[in-house]
Amino acid sequence: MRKVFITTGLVFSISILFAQEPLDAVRYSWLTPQGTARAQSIGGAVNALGGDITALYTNPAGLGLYKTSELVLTPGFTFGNNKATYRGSMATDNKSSFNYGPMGVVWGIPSYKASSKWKNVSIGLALSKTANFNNNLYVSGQNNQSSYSEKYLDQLIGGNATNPDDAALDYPYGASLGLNTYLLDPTYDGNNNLTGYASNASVATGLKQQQIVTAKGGVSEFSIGVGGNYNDVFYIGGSININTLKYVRNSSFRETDATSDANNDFNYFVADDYLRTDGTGASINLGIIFKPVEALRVGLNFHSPSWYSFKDTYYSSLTTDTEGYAGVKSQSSLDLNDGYSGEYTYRYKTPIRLGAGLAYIFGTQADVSSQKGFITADVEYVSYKNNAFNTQDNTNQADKDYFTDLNNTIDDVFKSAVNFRLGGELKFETVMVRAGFGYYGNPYSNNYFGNQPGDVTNASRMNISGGLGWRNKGMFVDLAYVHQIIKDAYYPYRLDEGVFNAAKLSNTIGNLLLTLGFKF
Amino acid sequence: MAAAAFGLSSCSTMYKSGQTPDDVYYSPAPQQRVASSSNNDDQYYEDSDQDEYVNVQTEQDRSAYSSEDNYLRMKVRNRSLWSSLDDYSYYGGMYSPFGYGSGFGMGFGYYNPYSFYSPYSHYGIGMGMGYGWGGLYNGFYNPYSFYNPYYSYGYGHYYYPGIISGKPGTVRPSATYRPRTSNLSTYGNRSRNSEINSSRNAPVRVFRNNNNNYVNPRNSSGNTSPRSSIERSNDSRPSRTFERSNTPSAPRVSPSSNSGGRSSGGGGSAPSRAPGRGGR
Repeated sequence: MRKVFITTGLVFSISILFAQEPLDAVRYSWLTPQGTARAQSIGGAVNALGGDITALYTNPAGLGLYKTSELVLTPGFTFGNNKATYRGSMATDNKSSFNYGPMGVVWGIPSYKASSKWKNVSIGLALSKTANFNNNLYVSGQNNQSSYSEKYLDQLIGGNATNPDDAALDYPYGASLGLNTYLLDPTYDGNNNLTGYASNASVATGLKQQQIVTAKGGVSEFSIGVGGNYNDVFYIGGSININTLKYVRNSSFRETDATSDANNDFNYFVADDYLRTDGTGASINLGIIFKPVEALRVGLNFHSPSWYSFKDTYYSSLTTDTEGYAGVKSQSSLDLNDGYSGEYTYRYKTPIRLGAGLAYIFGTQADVSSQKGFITADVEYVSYKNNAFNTQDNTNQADKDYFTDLNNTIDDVFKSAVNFRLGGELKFETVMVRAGFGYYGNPYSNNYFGNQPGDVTNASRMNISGGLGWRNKGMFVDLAYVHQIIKDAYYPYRLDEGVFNAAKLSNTIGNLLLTLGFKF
Repeated sequence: MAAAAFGLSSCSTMYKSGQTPDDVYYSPAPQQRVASSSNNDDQYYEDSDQDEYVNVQTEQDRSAYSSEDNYLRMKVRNRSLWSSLDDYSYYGGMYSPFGYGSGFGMGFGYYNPYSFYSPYSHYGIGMGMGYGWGGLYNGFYNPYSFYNPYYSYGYGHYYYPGIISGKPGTVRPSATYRPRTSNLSTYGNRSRNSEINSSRNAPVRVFRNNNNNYVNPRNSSGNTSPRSSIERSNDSRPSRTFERSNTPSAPRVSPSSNSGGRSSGGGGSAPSRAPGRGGR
């Protein structure tokens, strides 16, 4: 049963193609954890392990295992390859970018009282990139079922655009551009009554559809936290995180007549969209680690939502060639908005995360030569249904209604997921060898795919990692490589009725991280 | 931070070869690595090649280490580094609360292996926190950055120089301050998404009411009552106008051809492209 969430029946007169959509929430919440090279090379499974500055971002109780102090620098490099299969055609693209993990300091502060059960308190602060949006996507395929321009028709009918003159102005990010460049026309009955709207895209004889999406940005997270050590058995910690988010996306969707007919009044159109989202947010992480026996650690953590304030800036343009009908016409939303881009501020909340971990340490003595290695595993629960958008200005009921509908849709098309992480280290006094694995479950419910989920429902992210470490003379150097395999789906456009298809994405991302650390 | 790293690299020699503590496994508290068995503190500095890192299981009486002792030990260790701090009051100031936000203060703090013995050591940590939050306030907590919908990054009409600008003398149209809305009814299970084998006709959408019947938009019936009109008399924006008095401007696709050619109810050759607007 198709679900339609319209609380008021209100339909926005302004609507664009890069809309506030459920997919935004996945972008900002379906993330794999970042960390030092050591943490990354063991699959990010550091919940119960502790003793690494990554604890700020995972389980802050791990700070309590610090009795010494250290400074950490983690530069990195990321290179991604995307493969998109759309309507049987495959297209590839790639993108490389600089990256960084935690850069910060941890102070281990021993207790002043020898008799105190609280052995030490440790304080850490760090800046780290916790999401990397740098990505290039190229989608290409032949289509004789639907046209991207039908989104514009949906806008006009949904917006009850009974006056074409008004419609040519009221949808500056979509349908108005289509009308003014002659991609769309109104339709009339024999009595000159308006009946609807039509697109001149030649679906019947086939269209070649191509889209290039270039994305940049990421989330930088500054974290400050404290961890306490009670009698070397129980550890507790918390951290406060300040997030800054930037996401910049340029999209160009081109639809071309698949025939060589120069007299069918359609050659091509190109729809360009620009979106920039800036945001700041805050969250807290809490955790405990318990050692029932010296070598075994059990960790539990809680990540609050990140409460963000976002600001969007966006504009669109359309160029259409209708051959002998109107020729090449081009228009931008800036033309219709006195040169102003669209703009909006709003709120966003990520879901809560709950995690648990186990770690077993081989060699827990202070003598480094007796430290032989460890194995560690995490499990994490996150409900992507709990992503939520809201207005910044509560006085605008129309905006509030839209966000209510959006959150209801998010609840319908996303689900809960369980993530797993596993890793281990072998330590040979000064040299360490590491390996890890992480699996991040599917955030989409079947409703996201409609009734034709096909082979794209099992979206997942899988991290396979390895690394080397060297620790001597008060310094440590860790190197990690994380190979991420992503299976996902992307809809270039969605329509009210009829056929629209997902592009099946098979992406790989390589992350190379180097951590330099200094003990003091 | 690079300067601090440089300073730290020079003090890393305080650790015995192969015995750099690893907090992931277990690390002794700092007091266990500063004393020698002979209780001769100066030996620690003068003979740096000896065992600086010694596990001593007995607790040290940290009250014996005054801040003055610490300073003298540091001077002995590296006279050139600390010579600029011969004014002892300056040294004290470095660890005072007034040093918040001082990067150099943090750096020296790292260098001092006794920093956590000193009763002033907490100030060293406080400095780090103060610096971090201070920076945050400037960078992230500008309440006007994201809460004022008309805030424009201080560039006047320029949001991103060279890319977007308003026309001089114009005021932002209220219609440009809107959320990016999407057609949420396209989500959820669809009643049909099967491909049609025969070629479909031109894409058309027509106005329909809740019963999926065509509604003349000029009549206020069904759910397609005319939208509120907007005064366009002085509007100079570049848009098409559509004359309907005699000959429709572009009657290129008629609803009749749409319903006839693409009715899925008949032969099932093509689904109707005229959606019911139920719920909207």
